Order: sequence, then C-alpha cells, then structure tokens
Amino acid sequence: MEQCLVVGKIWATKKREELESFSLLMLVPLNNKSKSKSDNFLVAVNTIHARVGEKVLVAFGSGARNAMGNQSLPIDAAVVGIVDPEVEN
Amino acid sequence: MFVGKVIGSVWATKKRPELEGLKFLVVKPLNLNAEPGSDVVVVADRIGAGVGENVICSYGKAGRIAVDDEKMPIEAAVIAIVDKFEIDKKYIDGIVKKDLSPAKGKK
Repeated sequence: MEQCLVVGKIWATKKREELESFSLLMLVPLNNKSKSKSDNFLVAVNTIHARVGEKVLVAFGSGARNAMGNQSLPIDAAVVGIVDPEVEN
Repeated sequence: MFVGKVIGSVWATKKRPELEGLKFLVVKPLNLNAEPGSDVVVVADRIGAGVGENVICSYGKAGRIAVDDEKMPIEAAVIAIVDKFEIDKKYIDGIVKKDLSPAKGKK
C-alpha cells in the first residue's frame, strides 16, 4: 500500500460497465517526507468518501479489488483509508 | 490505474495468437503538470479510444479483466475514456520539490 495525497477527481462516461457508479480520484503517491514520489498521477477508486486535499492509504492489485468486494473488476487501485492528521510525520 | 494521453497505435503481425484482433495504443501518462510526460506505455484497448483522447488504464490482472480474458498475455489495458478531470494545483505545489518541477518553456 502507499500513502497518497488526493489532488483531484476524474470523470469518464465511456468505460467498462463494471465501473458504473464508481467515483475515481486523482492522487499523487507520497514519500516519507510527504513529498511526491512519482512524476505521474495515480487514479484510484474512492471507496470511503475521501476528499481532495486529504492524505489517504491506497491498496493495489487484488487488495484493491477486495476493497470493492469483487475480484472481477478491472481496477488495480483503491483508496482504503484516510490518514489521521495527528499521526502525520 | 493511471491516466494518460493516447499518442498513437502499434501494430504487430508476428505475435502470440491470443493477441489476434486486439488493438494496442501508445499512451503517455500525464505528469503532475497534467501534460503528457516522458514515459510511454503500450496498452491493449477494447473500448475504442482514439489518438488525442485521455484514457484511464489498469495494470496486471485488472488489465486482463478489461479485455475480457484473463489468459491474455498482456498486463496493461484501457478501462475508460476520460471526459474531464479537475486538479487542485495548490495541493500539487505543496508536495512537489521545487527542483523537480522546472517551469516549462511552453509556447
């Protein structure tokens, strides 16, 4: 899993039908100093109503599909937690 | 998943028979300036994305699910064509190291 900052939202009408009703977030993976560790955006399914500006936990692969309760979804990343502000380091 | 801009297609005549009929796109993931970056990824596409469109792609098993065949010898595929995205630039400015985001000399 990785800690990421939610920086935006993304919408798609033409998509795999399994993705209907999913909310997708744009995120940036963070290093241990809370700076970006990737030059590219990560897109993940929002399972817990995370909002832009929040630091979140993202699970990848099967773990992400487990968060949706369905291993047949074509997704490989899901937001599974919102990091508590007071334990940020 | 990642979001990227489709910049072209790739064709291969000599290939694994499973790949027959599958379309391959060349995609450049968007960097934190929301522009196509220097990376390039080849993805399978069953959705019908075209050059110039932004797409969301999955890796690994999710990519194989996206082409409806988990036995496919691929590991990246388009799952959606982007209508729009909204980025809050102030959050990106807060986490990007200054030296890694030089001001781009754009026209």
